[in-house]
Amino acid sequence: MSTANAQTKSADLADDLVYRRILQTLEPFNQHNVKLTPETDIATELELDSIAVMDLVMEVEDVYDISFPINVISEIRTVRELTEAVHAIKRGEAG
Amino acid sequence: MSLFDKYKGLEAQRELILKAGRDPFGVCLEKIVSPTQAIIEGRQTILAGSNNYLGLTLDEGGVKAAQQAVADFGTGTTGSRLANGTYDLHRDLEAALADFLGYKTAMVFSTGYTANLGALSGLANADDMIFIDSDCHASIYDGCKLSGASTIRFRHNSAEDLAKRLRRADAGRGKLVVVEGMYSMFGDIAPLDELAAAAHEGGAMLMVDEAHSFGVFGDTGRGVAEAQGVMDQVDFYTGTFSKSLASIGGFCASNHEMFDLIRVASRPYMFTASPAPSSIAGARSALRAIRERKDLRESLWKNARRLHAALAEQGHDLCADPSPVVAVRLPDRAMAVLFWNALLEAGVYANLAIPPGTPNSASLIRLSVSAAHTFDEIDAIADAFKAAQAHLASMPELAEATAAL
Repeated sequence: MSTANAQTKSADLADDLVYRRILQTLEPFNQHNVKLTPETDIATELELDSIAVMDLVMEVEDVYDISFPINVISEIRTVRELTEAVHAIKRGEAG
Repeated sequence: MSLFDKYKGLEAQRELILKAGRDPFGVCLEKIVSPTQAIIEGRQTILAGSNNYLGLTLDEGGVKAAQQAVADFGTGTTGSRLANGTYDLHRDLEAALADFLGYKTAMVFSTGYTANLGALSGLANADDMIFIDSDCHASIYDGCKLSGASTIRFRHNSAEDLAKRLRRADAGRGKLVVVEGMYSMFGDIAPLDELAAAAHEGGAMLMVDEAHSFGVFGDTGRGVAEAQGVMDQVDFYTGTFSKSLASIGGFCASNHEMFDLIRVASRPYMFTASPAPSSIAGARSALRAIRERKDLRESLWKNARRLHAALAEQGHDLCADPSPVVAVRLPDRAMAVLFWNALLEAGVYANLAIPPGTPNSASLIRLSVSAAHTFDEIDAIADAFKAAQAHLASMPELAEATAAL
């Protein structure tokens, strides 16, 4: 994905409350102070193993009182995908 | 793109680990001297990471029974439980396990790993939900995957978090909660009484994996569920032969009237050969020892408390209260690898557990105590920790050299 394209896409999430809350939740896991955008790859860019990713998702689950099945978590790579997964589960589309 | 490209990170980590010394995941036991000692790199070494909790691997009765089984039934069954692989021996062990645990039925699998895979994939499918403790063993994660069920993790040992997640779930789906008795990495115990109540109130059945606690906990050795007085609340009880039962194989026991149907529905039961006659005979003999020799559990616990106290006194960061698993937390991966090497140098084999895959990304030296350890051996393990600590403190450049790990 080109940088210009990524920036346009970040703008569409900038006001999304779920996205902003997820960024806050990610901070304690962001030990190398990577700049977080919707396209940040959670596992590889934040250097988290699969268990740490699942622990992080638990924090997000508690904020929204939802539960993600493990198979859904394993398909989430980016912050955008996590944001969209929260919206989908709140709409009752997964789980 | 090569198939092996995905392992580049793993390869880099492995190279760093090898720079620090030996391969912690490629140790070879050249000769077994006793249940608690082996020859490693030509040197007599104390085994402090073998999960041989009751020390029965060389028990005279067990060895004789296994030898007799080979003579009478052969070296292997060459068949699935479903075809030609069920012998009198397998049936007899199933009956003995069911009787010992107080369940109607017990089912024998080829390993502890396949017992969890077989039970989970036999019980649940894509229409169901499984709730697992976040610290559950890989065999439970893999069993959930194989079942196709929606699998939800709950916070380790938190009945409250489990209850919350059960409340969020769709009332119409079949539900199974899976926890362990004692967790193998930290040696901590589940509050089974609280978890059982949360599971049943939430409309779920409860499976408890007592792989590390069978034969070890409880007045008669029936595990953490017995110790907490909740055997009657455990719907499915799984375990392994490769720890206190000193063999290889696994089992699942239940009172459910339809439980036997799993034999014709569970792929890990159906599509692998049954345990060898010698394995079954060894496990059968060890089960008898668990029933008849309470002194084994008493020795185990005396040793566990002695080691825990000695390491606590040395100021180590221990992960749980005294239990047959004593886990020592090191500050990071590099220190854990160096410490593990120094322990082997000092004549003690322990388990190294480093991320990825450890709870809370902890770096650990994991010890398991045996009833067969003598007090002298327990003290030698504690002394080796002292020696390893002193060795690392005297060489700060070592830690620096491996800091990239």
